[in-house]
Amino acid sequence: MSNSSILVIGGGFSGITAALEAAEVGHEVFIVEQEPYLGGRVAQLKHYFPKLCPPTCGLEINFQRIKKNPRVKQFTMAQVTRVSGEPGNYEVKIKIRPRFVNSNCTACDKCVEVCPVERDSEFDFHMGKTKAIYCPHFMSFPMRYVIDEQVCEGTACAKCVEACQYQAIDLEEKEREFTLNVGSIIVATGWKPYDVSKLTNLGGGQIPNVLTNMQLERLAAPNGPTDGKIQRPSDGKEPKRIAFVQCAGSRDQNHLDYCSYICCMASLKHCTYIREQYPDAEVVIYYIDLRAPGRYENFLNKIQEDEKVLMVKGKVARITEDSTSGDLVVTAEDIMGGVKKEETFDMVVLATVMQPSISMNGFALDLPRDESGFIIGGEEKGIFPAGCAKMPLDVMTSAETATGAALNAIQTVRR
Amino acid sequence: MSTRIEPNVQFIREMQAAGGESLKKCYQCATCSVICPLSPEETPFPRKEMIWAQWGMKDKLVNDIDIWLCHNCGECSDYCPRGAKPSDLLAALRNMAYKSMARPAILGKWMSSINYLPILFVIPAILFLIVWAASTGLTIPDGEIVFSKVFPTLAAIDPIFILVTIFVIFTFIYSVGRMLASFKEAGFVPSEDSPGFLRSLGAVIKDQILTHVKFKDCETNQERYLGHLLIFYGFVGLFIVTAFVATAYWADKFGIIDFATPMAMWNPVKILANVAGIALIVGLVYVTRMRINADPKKTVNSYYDWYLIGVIWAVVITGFLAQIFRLADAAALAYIVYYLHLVTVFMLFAYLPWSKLAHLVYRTVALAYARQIGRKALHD
Amino acid sequence: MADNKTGVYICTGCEIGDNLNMEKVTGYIDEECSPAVMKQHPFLCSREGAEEIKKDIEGEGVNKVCIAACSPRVMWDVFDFGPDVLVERANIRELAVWSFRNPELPEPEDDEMADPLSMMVRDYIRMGVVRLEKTDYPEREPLEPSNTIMVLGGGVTGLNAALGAADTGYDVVLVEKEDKLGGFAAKMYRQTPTRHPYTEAQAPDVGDLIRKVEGHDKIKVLTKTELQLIKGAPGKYKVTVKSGDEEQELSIGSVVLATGWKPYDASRLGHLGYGKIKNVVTNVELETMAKEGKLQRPSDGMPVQSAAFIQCAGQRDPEHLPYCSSVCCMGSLKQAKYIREKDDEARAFIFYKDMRTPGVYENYYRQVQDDPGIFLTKSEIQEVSEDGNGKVLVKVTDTLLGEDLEVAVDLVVLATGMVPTIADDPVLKLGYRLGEQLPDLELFNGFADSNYICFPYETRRTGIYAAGCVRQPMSMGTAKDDAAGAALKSIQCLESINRGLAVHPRSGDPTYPKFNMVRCTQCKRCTEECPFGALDDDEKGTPEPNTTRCRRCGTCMGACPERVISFDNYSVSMLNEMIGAVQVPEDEEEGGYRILCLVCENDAYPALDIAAMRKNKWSASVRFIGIRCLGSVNTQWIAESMSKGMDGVLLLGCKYGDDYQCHFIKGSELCNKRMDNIGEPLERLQVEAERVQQKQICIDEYDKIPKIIDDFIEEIEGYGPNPYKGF
Repeated sequence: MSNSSILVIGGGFSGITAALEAAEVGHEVFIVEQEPYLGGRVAQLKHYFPKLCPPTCGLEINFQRIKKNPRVKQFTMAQVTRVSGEPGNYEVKIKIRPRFVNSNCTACDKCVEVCPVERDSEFDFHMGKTKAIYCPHFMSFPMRYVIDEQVCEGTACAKCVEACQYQAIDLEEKEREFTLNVGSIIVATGWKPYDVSKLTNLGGGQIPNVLTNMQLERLAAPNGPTDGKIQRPSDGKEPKRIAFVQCAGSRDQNHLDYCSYICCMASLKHCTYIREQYPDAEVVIYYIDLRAPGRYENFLNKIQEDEKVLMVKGKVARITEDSTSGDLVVTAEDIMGGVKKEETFDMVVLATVMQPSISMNGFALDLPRDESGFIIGGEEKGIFPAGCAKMPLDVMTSAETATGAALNAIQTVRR
Repeated sequence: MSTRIEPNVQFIREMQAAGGESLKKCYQCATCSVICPLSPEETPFPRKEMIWAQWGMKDKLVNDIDIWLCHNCGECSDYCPRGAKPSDLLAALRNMAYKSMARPAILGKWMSSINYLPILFVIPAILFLIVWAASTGLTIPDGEIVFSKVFPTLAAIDPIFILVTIFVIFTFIYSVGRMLASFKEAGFVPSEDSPGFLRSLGAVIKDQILTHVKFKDCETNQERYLGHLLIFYGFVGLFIVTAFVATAYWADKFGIIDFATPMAMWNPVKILANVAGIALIVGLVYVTRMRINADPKKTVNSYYDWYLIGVIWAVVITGFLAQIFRLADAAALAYIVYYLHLVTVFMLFAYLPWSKLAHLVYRTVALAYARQIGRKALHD
Repeated sequence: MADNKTGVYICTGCEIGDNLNMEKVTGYIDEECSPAVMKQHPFLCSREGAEEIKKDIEGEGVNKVCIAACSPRVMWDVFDFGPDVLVERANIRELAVWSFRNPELPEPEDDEMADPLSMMVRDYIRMGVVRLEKTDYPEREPLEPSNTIMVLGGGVTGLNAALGAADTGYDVVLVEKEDKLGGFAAKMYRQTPTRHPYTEAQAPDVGDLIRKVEGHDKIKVLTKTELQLIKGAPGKYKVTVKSGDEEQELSIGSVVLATGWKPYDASRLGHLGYGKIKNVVTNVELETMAKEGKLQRPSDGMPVQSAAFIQCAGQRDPEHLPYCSSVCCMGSLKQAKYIREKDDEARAFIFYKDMRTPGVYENYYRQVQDDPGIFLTKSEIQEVSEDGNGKVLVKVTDTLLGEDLEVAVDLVVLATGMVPTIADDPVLKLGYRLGEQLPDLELFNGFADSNYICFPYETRRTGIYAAGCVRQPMSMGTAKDDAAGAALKSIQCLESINRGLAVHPRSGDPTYPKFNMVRCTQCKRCTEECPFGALDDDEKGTPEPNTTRCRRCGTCMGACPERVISFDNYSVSMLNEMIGAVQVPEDEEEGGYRILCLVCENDAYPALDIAAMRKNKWSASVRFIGIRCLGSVNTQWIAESMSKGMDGVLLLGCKYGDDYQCHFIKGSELCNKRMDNIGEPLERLQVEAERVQQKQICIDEYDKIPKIIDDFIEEIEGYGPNPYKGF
C-alpha cells in the first residue's frame, strides 16, 4: 500500500503551488524549504510582468490557503539529506538548521533594537543590512525572526535573549534531523541568479553601478534597502540614463547556453519602475532578440510606445567605469544602424540569467540532469520536477508545471 | 534598391573548409564588433562579415578591406557566445585571398591543402638536386666545408633566388593591384583631402608595424604579441644579414671590398644573424605553443597556419643544423641539411604570395589604404 | 446548538498593555458585551495563554472566543481550538497600538469616554464580540456530485488531460468534433523537440497517446461529436452532446476545455501574396505537404528547391493578431529543415522580426542555424510578388546585412499564428444566464486565459478549466504540463464539492450564500453582478443559486438592496451591528472624528499589517473592518455609518481596470460604482458625497497608507462633522 503523502522540496512559488494543489485534493503534503521563509524568489520581486501586480498578493492568498489547510505542513531552514525507498514508499531524512528563534516569537522587533551586529542582507543582494537577528522580510511566512549563525556572537552577547520578553530565542539550539515517509516527491528547487562576477567584460560584481536585474528588483521594491527608491549604489544619485544589457550570461556558451526566458520581459518591466520614478530618465535596452512570447507582446508594445525607452539591437560586450564620476561607458554595435558606439550611463542593469539553484552534485536525489543542472527526468521514480528546477520559466508557466506535477505525484501515490 | 541574393552555398563550404567552419553558428549579437579593439565606428567588423559569410555573399567578402585590418588576436572568438569563431572566419577569408588573389592560380590551389604538399616540396627538391648534380655530381666534396662548393652562389643560388624574387615581386604587383581595385569597387575610395598612399604606407610601417601596437591592443593574447614580434624582428634581422652578405659578396666579386663566407663568429653581422635566428626560434616557440594549446571551442588552426609555421621551423632548423654540422665538420650531414635548407627557403619565399606570409604585403597595403581613407579603430 | 458563551481574551504583550488604560477597556466591554469570561494575559500566544483559553472552553463551556491581540494573519494556529469553537481576532496590535498616533485630544470629561487608544481598542473588541454573536456555525451544503470529467477537444492537450484524470482514478468523457483524435499533432510530419537536449525534431508521438486513451477503461471517447449544451453547475452538470443525429445527455462533474486553436485566416494576408500567388502557402499547409511527402510547388508540381519563411505573418500586427504566437519561430526552423532534408542544395530563408526560441528551445535554434543551407535575418517584409518561372520574389528591408535584399524562391511559407477556437465561437455552450461563453476574453486577445500570473487556472467559470492553445499559444511540451494542471484542477473542484467546500481563492470555505427568497424583489442585481455567473433565474427574475459555481466573494450580498443574501459568518446585518458597535463621540472636539474603513482582506488588510510593522502611524479616528471583497459592500453599511454619526467611510480595495487585481474580478470596480450611485442620495440628505470614498491599493503599497488615511481625514475635517451626529 502506497504512502499517500507527498514531499515537496522547495517552498518557492512552484513548491507552494504544487503543495497546495495536491493538498486541496486531499493529500498530506510536506514542504521542505532551506530558507527561513516560504515564497522563494518571487518574494524578492516588486512586480510581476506584464500586469505589474505585486507577487505578495498571490503569496498572501497561498499563505491563507496553507493556514486553512491542515494537510500542508512546512519546514523552513530544512534540507533533504537522504532519500531511500521506491515510488509509493519513500523514506526521507530531513535536516533542520537551527533558527535560534522558536515559535514564541511575536515579531515585536525588540531583539533587533538591541542586537549589536550588522550583516549584509542576502535577501537584498548585499545592498542592504540587517542585524544578526532579523525578520526575513515583511511578508515572511512564517512570521518569525531568525539569527544568522555566521555573524551572531552567540551566548557571549545574548543581548537579544535578554530583550525578548517571550523566551523566543534559544542560542543553544542545535541542528536536528527527522524522517518523513512519503509516496511521491516533487522537486521545486527553483533558480538562483548566475554569478555575475564571471561576466568580467561587463564589470559584473566589480563596478558598483552595474547592477543585476534582481538587484534592481530589490532597489525598486518598497521593502528594499532604499524603501523603493531607485538610486545608484555608489553615491545615491538619481539615475538619469540607464542601460539594460540583455542576455548577460544567457545564450552564451561561455556562460549558460540556454535563453533565460524571462529577462526580456523583466527588463521591460524594469523600464516601468524607472520611468514611473523618473519621468525624465532615458532608458536604452540592448538586446539580441526581444522575446515577448504570446500576449507578452502587448506589454512590449506598451513599452515601445514610451519615447524615452530606446531599444537597440546589439549586445553590450564592454562596460567600463569612470572612477571619478561613477558613470559607465557602455560599448555596443547598433546593428540596425551599423555603428559601434560608446555611450555613457549613470546605471547599468545586467539582465542576468537564471540557473538551477541545486548544485550538480550536492543534491540528495539522484536525478537525470542536463549540462546546466536542470532536472530532465525522474518520472519513473515517482519524482517530478516543477517550475524552474526543470527549465527556465516565467511564474505562470511555473505554476502550470507545478499543478501538473501535483497531478503526477497524486497518480503515483494512488497507484 | 534591394540586392538580389543567390547565396553561394559552394562559397560557404569553401569558407568552412578554409578555417571558418563555425560561421553558421553566429546569431548576430555583435559581441565581436565590440570586443575587437581594431574595429572601426562605422560598419564595424567582424559582425557584418559573419552574416555575409552565412549568406554566401562572396562579392562582399572578397572586396572587404576589414579582413586585413584584423590582426587575428582571437579575442572576438573568446567572447563569442555562440562559438562562431569570427577570428577564424576572417583568417579563412584571408586564406582564401592568398589562394585566389595571385597568379598562377594553380599555386594557390597547391598551397591550400596538405594533399599538394609533395608537389610544393618536389619542385625545389629537384631544382637543387640538379644544381648539386651539376656542381659535384651529387657527391660530397672533400676538404673544408664550404656550401658554395656544392651550391655555387654565382652560378646557381643567386640566379635562382633573384629570379624567385622577381617572380614574387611581379606577382605581388599584380595581386596588390587587384586588391586595391577590389577595395575601390566596394566603395572604399580616398577622399580628395586624404593623404597619399605612400605617405600612409610610411606611417603605417612606422606607427603600427614596427611597434606592433595593434597586436598589443589585444590585451588577452600577449603570448601572440610577443611571438609575432620576435618572429617579425627575427626576419628583419635575417633580411639585413642576407642583404649585407649579398651586397658584400658582389662587392667582393667586383673587387670593391674583400669579403668571404663563412664569416667569423665574432663578426657583428654574424652575431646579428645568430641573435635574429634565436629571436625567430623563441617567437616560433611562442606561436607554436599558442597554436597547440588553442581551445578548439575558440579557434581551429587551419592548414595555412601550420604550413607557415612548419616551413619557418624547417628553415630555421635546417639553417642552424647546417651551421652546426659545418662547424662540427660532419661534411655529409652538413651538405644534405644545407640542401634541405635551400629547399625550405625556396618553399618559404617562392610561394610567399599564396601563403599566409603574404599578409606581410597584403595587410601592410590594406592598412596603408585604410589609413588613407580614414578607416580606423573606434579609439584611434 | 448549545448556549453561546463568549470569552474575551486580551493580550497585553507586544506593547499593548503598556499603552492602554486597561480598566477603561475591560469596564466598557463588560458593560457593553457582558462576555461570560474576560481575561488578560501578558503573552496570550504562549502555550500557557492558549491553555488558559482551552481551560475555559472545557471548564466554562466557552464556545465563542474573541482574541484581542495581534493580527489574524499571525498565530493562526495557536488560536485554533477546533471546529466547535468560533474564534474572532480583534487586531488591536497592528491596527491599534502599533499604528497609533496620538491625536493629542483634551482629557475627556465624559465618563463614557477614554483616551483615544483605549477607545479604539474597545471598539475593536466590541466589534469582534458582535461579529461572534452574529456568526452561525457554518453549515455545508450537501451534494452528491458526479465524478466524471469531460474533456473538450481531442488534440494533444485534451488527450493528455483525459489520460491524466483517468490515471488518477476519475471517469472521463473525451469529446472531439472531428472523426479522429490527435488534432494538429496528428497532422504533423515532425514535431519540434519536447525532450532534452531539444536539438532534433521528433516523429510525432501523438499516436501512442491516442492508443493509450482509446484503450483506457475509464475514458469514454466520443468522436464526431458536438457539444450542444452545458447546463447546471460543477458536480452536477447535465451536458448534451450530439453525434450525427443522435443526442445524448451526460452527467458531468467538471470540464477541461482543450479545444485548441485554428490557423489565422490566411486569406486576409493578401499583402503577403496568399491567395494571389499559388506558390505562397501557410505553415500549416506546408506541414501537410511534408507529411504527404509532396514538397512541390503548387503551381507546377516542381520540387521545392528554395523556400522563404515569413515569420509573424499576421502576428505582432495590430491589423491582424496583435500577439505573438509563441511557436512559429520553432515551427519555421523545423520546416526549414524539411526543405533541406531531401536536397542538400536546397535553400531555406527565414525572415524574422525577433527570433523567439525562449528557454531551452534556444538549443534547437542553435542546432538548426548551423545548417549551411538555412539563411536567417531579422527584417521587415516589403513585398512578395511573382518573379516568372513559378518563382516568388520576396523583398525585405531592415536586414542584418546592411542593405535591402530580395530572394527569388520556389515557395513562400507564411508562418501564420494560432487563433484560439473560442475567440469567435462560443465552444462552451453554457446554459448560464450570463451567457454561453467565458466572459471578457478580449482581455486576453480571445484566449481563455487566466488574468492572474500566480493562478493560471483561476477561471471565470468555476468547474471549467482551460488548457493548451485555447488558453495561450504554446508548444506541445508546455501543453502536456498544462493539460496535467487543468486535469488536476478539475479533479480538485470535484473533491472540494464532495466536501462541500469552496474552491480557490477561498478554498476550504464551508460557507455559501443563502437566499431568503421571501424578501426578494426580483431586481436581478445579484444575478447580473455575480462575476462567476453563479446565479440563473426563472421567468419572473427570481434568482436560482448554484452554490458550486459560487466563489463566495459576497458580490451578490453587496448588490442586494433587500438583505436577501447572507453567509453563516458574513451578512449585511452583521456588519451593520459591527458598525453600530463603534462608539462615536458626540463631540469631535473632544473625541475626534470617526471614520469607518472597509478593507479587502486579501490585499489592503495585509498592507495595513505591514504598514504597522514598518512602524507607520496614522490617524486614531479610523476603525477598520476586514471584508471578503469590496464587491460585498452593501450600501446599507454606508447608510448605517452615516446614521450612526460617523464622519466618513473609506473603502480600500484592489486595483481595477484591464489589469484588475481583484480575485473576484470586478469586486472593487462594482463597489466603486455603487458608491458613485449613493452620492446623490447622500447629497439629498445634506451629506457630502465625498464623505464616502474608495481608494485602490495594492498589498505592497503599505507605505502609502498613512497618507491615504490622513488625506482623507483632512478632507473630512474640511467638511466638518457629520450633520447627523448625535441624532
